[in-house]
Amino acid sequence: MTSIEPNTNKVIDLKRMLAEKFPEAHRAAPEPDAYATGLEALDQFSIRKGEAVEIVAPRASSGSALILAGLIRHAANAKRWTALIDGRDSFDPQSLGHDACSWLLWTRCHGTDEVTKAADLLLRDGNLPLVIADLRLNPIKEVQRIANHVWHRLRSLAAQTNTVFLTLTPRACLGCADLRLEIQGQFQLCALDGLRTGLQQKLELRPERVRHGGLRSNSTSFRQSVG
Amino acid sequence: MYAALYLPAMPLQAILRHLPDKQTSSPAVLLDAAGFLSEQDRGKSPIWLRNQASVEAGVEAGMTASQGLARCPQLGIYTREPEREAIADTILLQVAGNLSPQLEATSPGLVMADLEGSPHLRDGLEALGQATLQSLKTCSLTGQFGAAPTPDLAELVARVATPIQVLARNPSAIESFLRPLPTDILELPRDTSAILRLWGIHNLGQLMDLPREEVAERLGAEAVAWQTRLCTNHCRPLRWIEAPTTYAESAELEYEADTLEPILFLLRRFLDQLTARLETAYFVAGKLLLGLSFADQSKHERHFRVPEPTNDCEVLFRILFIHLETLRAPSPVIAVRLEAVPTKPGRCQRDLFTPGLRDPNRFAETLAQLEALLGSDRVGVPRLLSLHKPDAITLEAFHEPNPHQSTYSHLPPFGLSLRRFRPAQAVGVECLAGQPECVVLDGMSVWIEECHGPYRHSGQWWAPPGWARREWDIRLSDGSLYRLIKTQHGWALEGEYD
Repeated sequence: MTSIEPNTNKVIDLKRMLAEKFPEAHRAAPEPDAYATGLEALDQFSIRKGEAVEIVAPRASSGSALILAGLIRHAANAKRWTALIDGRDSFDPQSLGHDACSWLLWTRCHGTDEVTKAADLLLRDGNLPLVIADLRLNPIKEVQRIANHVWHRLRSLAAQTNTVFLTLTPRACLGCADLRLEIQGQFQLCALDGLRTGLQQKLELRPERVRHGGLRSNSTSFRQSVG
Repeated sequence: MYAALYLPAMPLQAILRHLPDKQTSSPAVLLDAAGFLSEQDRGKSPIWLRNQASVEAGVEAGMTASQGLARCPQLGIYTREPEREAIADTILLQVAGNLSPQLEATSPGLVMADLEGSPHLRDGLEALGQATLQSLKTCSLTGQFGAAPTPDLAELVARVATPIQVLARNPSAIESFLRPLPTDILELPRDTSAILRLWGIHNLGQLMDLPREEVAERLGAEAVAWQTRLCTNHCRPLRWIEAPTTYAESAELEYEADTLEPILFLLRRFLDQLTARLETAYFVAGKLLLGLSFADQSKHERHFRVPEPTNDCEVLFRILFIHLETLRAPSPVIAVRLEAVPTKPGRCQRDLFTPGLRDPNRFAETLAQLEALLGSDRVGVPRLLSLHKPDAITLEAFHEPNPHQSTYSHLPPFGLSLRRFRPAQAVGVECLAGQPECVVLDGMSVWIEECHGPYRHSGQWWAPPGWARREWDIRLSDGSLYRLIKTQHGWALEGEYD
């Protein structure tokens, strides 16, 4: 303990010194507005504009495309644009319908390299309030190969432009995510005959990581981890 | 009242306006020849038109280019470029269009406008002239403005104006103005001028005093027409012409350009000129049309829609720059053309309840960058085709949908969404009693736990080869749900239900 304390003090001193020297960079950001996704499972975590959210879908048929469809449809109903960066060109507009697609900018990528470049451009632009990067079908090794500094840059761009940056990944890889949720369970074949709104209510999301400290939902099952 | 707008030495001005500012103020002359001249021919050609700097340097019209260079070593020597002269004439007409809709293109570099009933007259003709010449100046042209009770008098006034001259409806004042002017101002034929000089006629006053019948007898009917032009009560009708609505700039390069920099430099100058011209007519650029001609005779044309029409050069330039950055030219560029399609500036108020794009022009740039990164066929708004066929979709270019159009579907969406494998993943399937029992994926057999189907689909049988397929919804032993299809090409997994 005695060997750690002086280091901690040094770090605190360094932080204070930097804050004095660069006050603009350390100014407390104003509390961002909440972004309503229209999905109860997501809205209970009150996603805010400018946040990077990672939704991990480790199992097939767990409902990640259902979340995607819900986000796009709700945004279209609210007449808001959504950008979908499709990492494996797997999005099926026929599953969504013409009306919901009319407010969707679809970028069909073939690989994570294109995904990160497209995300960089769209987040830097800041015109669209929601940018979704769908990497769910990309090979896990390829997704994990995306360097941490790239994710950090994307997250910081999202914060600067007040854009919600939502990623769908097969494994947790967004080290800097403000919120990480993991989809629990799998759907059965009978789900193909059910109403989509009913299926969306059955979605079970477990929070894995939350920034800013403290609980942001009323859910008692919400737990904070160090990440 | 009539107003005349005159561009002195218009063919030379038409060339100089494309040069950087420093070069426009240095001595320059124009030879009476078009196209490329060899060094020898250029030296022998006589000088036709001069700018003020070359006049001050002692260069005179009629000298050969070599003589001109001997007097002024910095002399810029140019040959005629009819395309640029046409553009200068177009600009002149467009600027004059602000004076009145009743215009006449009297001769190259001279436009006449009928000011009868013009609302601009309230501000006074002097102020009108100043505003008009200022508009010309923003287009890098120097003009002269003259106003008089008849078109012919207005033309004479504009030719001698410095740079604005207004002649009121006062016969005695008009006569005193005309009398001292030299007869050369009428641009008479050379032999007639010589005869008049022999008679001792040097100014318009002397010409006006000659008896008409005697003049007609000796010099012909044309000479009477010249005298008539000087009358205060002779008002000829104008040959009306509409002000052109094309805003274009073009240039043929002296050297073949095989890098981007000279093209960008030229386009930037074009944009400066075009936006200045648009502003004088109270328009903004709604579209840009870029044309490039290559040395191998091939051409490249591209239309750019400006999402939020503007005259901001930076915004327009970035649109062109992003496109040109990714363009692969088959051979060097030899000519560049840029046209701006004019539109009225948007004055509509945005919908309070519809959050549109914050900066449409910036978003257009981002889209162009995305298209450069992925290709234009991989960025856009998906649209379902009116076909029964699976995956019958297309991508449309980004456009803002009508916010008042309902986006609610008539039918509630059913089931899980499909994550489509493009192309479908070929698999081996073992069947029992016609139903799939086991799927062979990457050499591994996976049992099908649950299976719904087959669902038969077919279409376009009227247009061979058409398509037909059978579909099964399956659940594998790991719990994943897939759509299995059988077509004429065999078994395949079309996608994952997720």
